[in-house]
Amino acid sequence: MKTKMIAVMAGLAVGSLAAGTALGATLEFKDPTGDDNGPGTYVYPTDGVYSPGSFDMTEFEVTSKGKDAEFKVCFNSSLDDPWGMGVGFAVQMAAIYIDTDRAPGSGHMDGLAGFNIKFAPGDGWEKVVVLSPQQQSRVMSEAKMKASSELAAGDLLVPRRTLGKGKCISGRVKLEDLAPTADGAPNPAGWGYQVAIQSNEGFPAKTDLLTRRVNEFEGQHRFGGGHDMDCDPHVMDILAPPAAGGADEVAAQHEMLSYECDADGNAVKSATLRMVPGTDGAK
Amino acid sequence: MKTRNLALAAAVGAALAAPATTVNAGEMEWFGSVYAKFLDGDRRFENALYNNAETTPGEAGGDQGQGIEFELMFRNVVSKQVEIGGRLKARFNQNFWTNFGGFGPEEEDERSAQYIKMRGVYAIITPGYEWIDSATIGSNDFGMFDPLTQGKYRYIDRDNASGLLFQGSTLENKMRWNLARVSLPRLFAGPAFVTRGEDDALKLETMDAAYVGKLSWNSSTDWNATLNTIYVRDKEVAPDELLDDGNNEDIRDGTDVVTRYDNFAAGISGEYNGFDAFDLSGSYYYSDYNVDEGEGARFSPLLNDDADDYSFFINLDIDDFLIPDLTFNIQAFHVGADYMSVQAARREQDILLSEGWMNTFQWGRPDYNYGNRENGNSAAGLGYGGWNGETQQVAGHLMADNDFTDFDEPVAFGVNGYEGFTIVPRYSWGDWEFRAEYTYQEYDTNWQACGGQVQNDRTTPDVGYRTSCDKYPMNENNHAWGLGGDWRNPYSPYQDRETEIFGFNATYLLDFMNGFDIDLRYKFIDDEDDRVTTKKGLADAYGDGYAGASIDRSDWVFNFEQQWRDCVGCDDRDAEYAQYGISVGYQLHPDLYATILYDYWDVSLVDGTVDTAKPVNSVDGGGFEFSNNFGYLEYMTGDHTKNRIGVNLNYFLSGVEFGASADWFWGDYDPTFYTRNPDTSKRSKLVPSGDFVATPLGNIDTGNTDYNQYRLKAFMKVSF
Repeated sequence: MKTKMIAVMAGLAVGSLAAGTALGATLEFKDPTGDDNGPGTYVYPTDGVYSPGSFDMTEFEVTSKGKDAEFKVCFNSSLDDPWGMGVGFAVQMAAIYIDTDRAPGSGHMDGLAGFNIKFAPGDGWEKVVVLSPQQQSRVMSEAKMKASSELAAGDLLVPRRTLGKGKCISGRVKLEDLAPTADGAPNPAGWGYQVAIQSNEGFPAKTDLLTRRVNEFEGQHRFGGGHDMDCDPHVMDILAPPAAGGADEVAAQHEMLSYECDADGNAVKSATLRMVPGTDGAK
Repeated sequence: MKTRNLALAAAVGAALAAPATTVNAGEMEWFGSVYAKFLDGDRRFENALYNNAETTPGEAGGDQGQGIEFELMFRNVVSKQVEIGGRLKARFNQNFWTNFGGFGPEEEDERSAQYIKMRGVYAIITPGYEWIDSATIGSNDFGMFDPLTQGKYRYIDRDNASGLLFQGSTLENKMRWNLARVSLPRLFAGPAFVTRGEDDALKLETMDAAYVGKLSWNSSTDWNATLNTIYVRDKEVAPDELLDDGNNEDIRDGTDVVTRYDNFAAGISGEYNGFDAFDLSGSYYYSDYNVDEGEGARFSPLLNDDADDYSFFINLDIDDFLIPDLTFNIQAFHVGADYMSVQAARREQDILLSEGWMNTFQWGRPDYNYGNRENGNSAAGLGYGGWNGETQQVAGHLMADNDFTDFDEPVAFGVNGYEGFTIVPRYSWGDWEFRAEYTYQEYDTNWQACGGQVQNDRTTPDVGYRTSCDKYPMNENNHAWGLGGDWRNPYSPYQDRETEIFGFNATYLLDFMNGFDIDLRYKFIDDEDDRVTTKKGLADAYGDGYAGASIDRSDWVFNFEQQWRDCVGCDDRDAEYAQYGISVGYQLHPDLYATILYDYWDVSLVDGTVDTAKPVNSVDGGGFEFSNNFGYLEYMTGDHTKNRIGVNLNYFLSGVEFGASADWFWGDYDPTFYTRNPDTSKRSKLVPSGDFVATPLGNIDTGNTDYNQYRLKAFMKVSF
């Protein structure tokens, strides 16, 4: 039996090596640790599955792999799959907003439903890639209800599969879906990026795209430190220029995610994000 | 290996993570779901709309029928300081469509009628004080605590438990604390699965509680630490308060209580992420248990005597080891045989890194030998196919629980006494993802006569292991995982066992058409148990045969001197399990994802001789259950094959999810027989001369046996 097992493993290993894919250039962005508190006040839900560092992004990578672009987001915590999602992680979710034309006045200026964020003038996004432990078709079905215009325009992309390993989650989409080849060869280094870290919520509110809410007080499955109404950003961590992981980026994040609400819970000032140029990641 | 289980994920989310929408103060928010389930199979049992409900009296499983349940959840943010919520739910345990709207023959049975029951009611108070964040009163799953102290220990719903929960933080959130008083479930959380003594006049249940604490320190991104504690006390009225005990106790000055049992457990855990090359984490637990009334219970979730023990876990996680994208997860573990927290998780939490056993062989009270439809125990279980879901390895002592589950869900398995290490490398190469596993296990329950005195006086029934093993309830009394095994009894009177698990899994995304998800899997388990290791122990374990069993053993002649005497290798169990599998998944339509699976298992098992079944803990003398006709003990020595073809479908539309899983199993069993060789006093093969071979468990057919099972589960879930 043991001999059989070794033979099978060896065969699969050899087969896999022969099937390797050539790797392209990688853009690498760093993010400081300890800034998984949104605008500076957010705290984790109290259930034991949300271990410290689960939403603390440390690194973001974009790699061209043949016809695909692979997006990888890493956290300051080993991944776990307490809900049996079967893909190596469960509680995290990341939305990667991409400004592919870097043109002022173009693109979407609001984040996806449930994130409660806006983008600065000149930093509108053309595409968003959602890394979620949910099945692709589940994310798409939710998007039909809650991000219908973005989905219809082909601006919301979900990898066929998103996997978690070690501390990182990753998924691939077609490069041509990010930037039509008719416009010339896609150039990821010339794009702008922003990554919004959220938590996978299997039973979201009617207006939220599989995101977990932030309230004033944390709950077993709710973030705390924010506002009970929708005037606060529902994001735990983002990139901040120049995305080198410096301590000064914490203050920049807090400034971008800062918000103000009126007495009725309406937004007086919304969290407004800036893109990080791809050239910052081409180190 | 670990299969996707969206049903579980959905259910987990549904239980307590109700969506937090933005509503005005005082406005009632309503939301909920409609869930329909369809079961089909060729076992043709229709006791419930759950495949497995074998350990709950009055309940039983099934593989037939259709039903629909409705759940209406509500929440009201009464003010900035108060929120309330709950659920109204109509469960479909036996609420088949054929009941014709509740006017069926079992109308008076709430499991059959379409009654709606209040569940999960809570109030959260957030007073706005600095020293406390919130107080939660009512139902809870207490998931903020720890699987080895206060774990997830649901019965039917995740929020079956109720209590008081207080939470707060200080030092700018660096320190967080949780305190809870959890009412003790009288359904199971005590010796003999009750929280009251034998005398009804002394019964006290409703004030029994667990007191739980958790203190977390998280001041740095490099490290964090947590302390978990729990104290449980089960009280009864003091016996001398009864007038008829001769003490003429006057209760006008109050009634005294006594402690039936108490249980303390504490654990400290820490994690350090400051190394560049790896992360290190670990935890250590200690438990102490004192019982006034052990009762020598045959079925019990707790030990029958005082005990204390410890458990520990050390985890090492290495990323990008030597080459990029190669990670290692390593765990060393020890779960003490006597470690006990009555509130520890009994399902839905997994304390081990290893993927554990092959769940296709989990069938709590199986029936491989006879195929007896009248056997209510095996009829209540899943049948030949076992579970498809992953293993949830729990230290809930003798309380691992799988009732109200279906074949596509995870299965809980008790791992008290497990010790060893697991190494899991993972590697990405292009479109390939690889995962492997090696686990080596020994057992804290490797003992002779339960660690007590080995007594070879085979003419006296209450000596040897029959005395020392009284501490350990036997429940199904069948501590042999896999073929013929169970999941909730980690104890065997005589054990000398070690296990190795090898696993390899490769997934590949074939970029053709819509893309094919290909999964290849292989698993091998080598499990050896020498059981009785001394000649003296043979007499203790087998000296009086298998007394008490009521089955017909007229063909089997008990003769200790001839059958055992000096053959310490005759009762050894040697098992080798292998699995080969492939799955292909494809997005047939933007809304529909389909997976086709094929698995093949072969098992080579030598389990004692035809004269020696396993040693059985005879706290109450064994009895008729020690026959394979009843399903607690099976004769399984020989070669087994099993095949599975499965089809899974997932279909999503806006607001509704459909799912379906169908399996077709087929396989066979080629029995082999061993006996003691009188010349060598060792185990040797027996060539049968007739149609059957007599064993202490009954007569075993010498021919091949074929097994088949078809099963289907389909569901629809509408969330609104």
